[in-house]
Amino acid sequence: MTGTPTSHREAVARLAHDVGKYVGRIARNVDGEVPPALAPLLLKDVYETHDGRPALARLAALAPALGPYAEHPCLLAARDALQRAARLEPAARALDPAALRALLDLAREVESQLRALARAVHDEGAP
Amino acid sequence: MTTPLTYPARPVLLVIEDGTEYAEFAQLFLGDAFDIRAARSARDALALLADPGADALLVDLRFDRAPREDLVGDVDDTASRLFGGDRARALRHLQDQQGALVLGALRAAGHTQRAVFVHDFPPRRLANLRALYGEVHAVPSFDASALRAALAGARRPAR
Repeated sequence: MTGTPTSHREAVARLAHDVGKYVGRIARNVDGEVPPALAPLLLKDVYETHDGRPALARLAALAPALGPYAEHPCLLAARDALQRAARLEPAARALDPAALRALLDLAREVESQLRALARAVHDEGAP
Repeated sequence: MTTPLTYPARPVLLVIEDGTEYAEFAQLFLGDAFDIRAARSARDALALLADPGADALLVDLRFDRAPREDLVGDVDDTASRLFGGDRARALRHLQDQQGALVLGALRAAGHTQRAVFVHDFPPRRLANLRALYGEVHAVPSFDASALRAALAGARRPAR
């Protein structure tokens, strides 16, 4: 494990920003069926999140800097949701309505878990 | 003599970010209420605030995709003041906090418009930002309803 407690907390903040916030951008504002006009943006949020790379890849890139937080339950739940989203990608890109609905739920789950992680880490580090 | 009908112009929302995600979002979910303009740096934002101006600011916090020359803040100075000479760490710090630094630059130039961040700031951090920069709001996620509420009634101050 590399880094300091401060650098681990900074990495969590980056993860919450780069993945959590953007993954939830469209999903946070859609209920039920995904309107056709919003589907490409939802796909972009999940599969081309950061510099055109999937959210799961960004999480993997930041994971070594997370230190002990890489095993935090919120992080594990977010990773699980992103892995399920990755398995949905072919159907979601084919604009299958059920896959898009499932993707909405997974995106919101990722955002919630990473926000909860960032809050927990902040509270832990606060004097 | 008749008085021509005039309609109030929509307020201008200036989005400041290093990508396009905020502007896309604003156009989609806030575009009915605001005329959306976009800036990629403090320099761009200052130019747009000079003309056409803006009624409110929507500011990203982290600018890791911006060219280094566009960042507010000096890497060497930050490294020596805060990070024992570690320039890589100083650059990451400037990127991580760039939205707040951009807002500081705009405030220093006299632009006091309401500023809204999409970020889940801890309460003490948000209080510090307000102490430094006046009217600052934050919503924790891209929640269009919450953003509309945070931006409601924002109007450019008389100058």
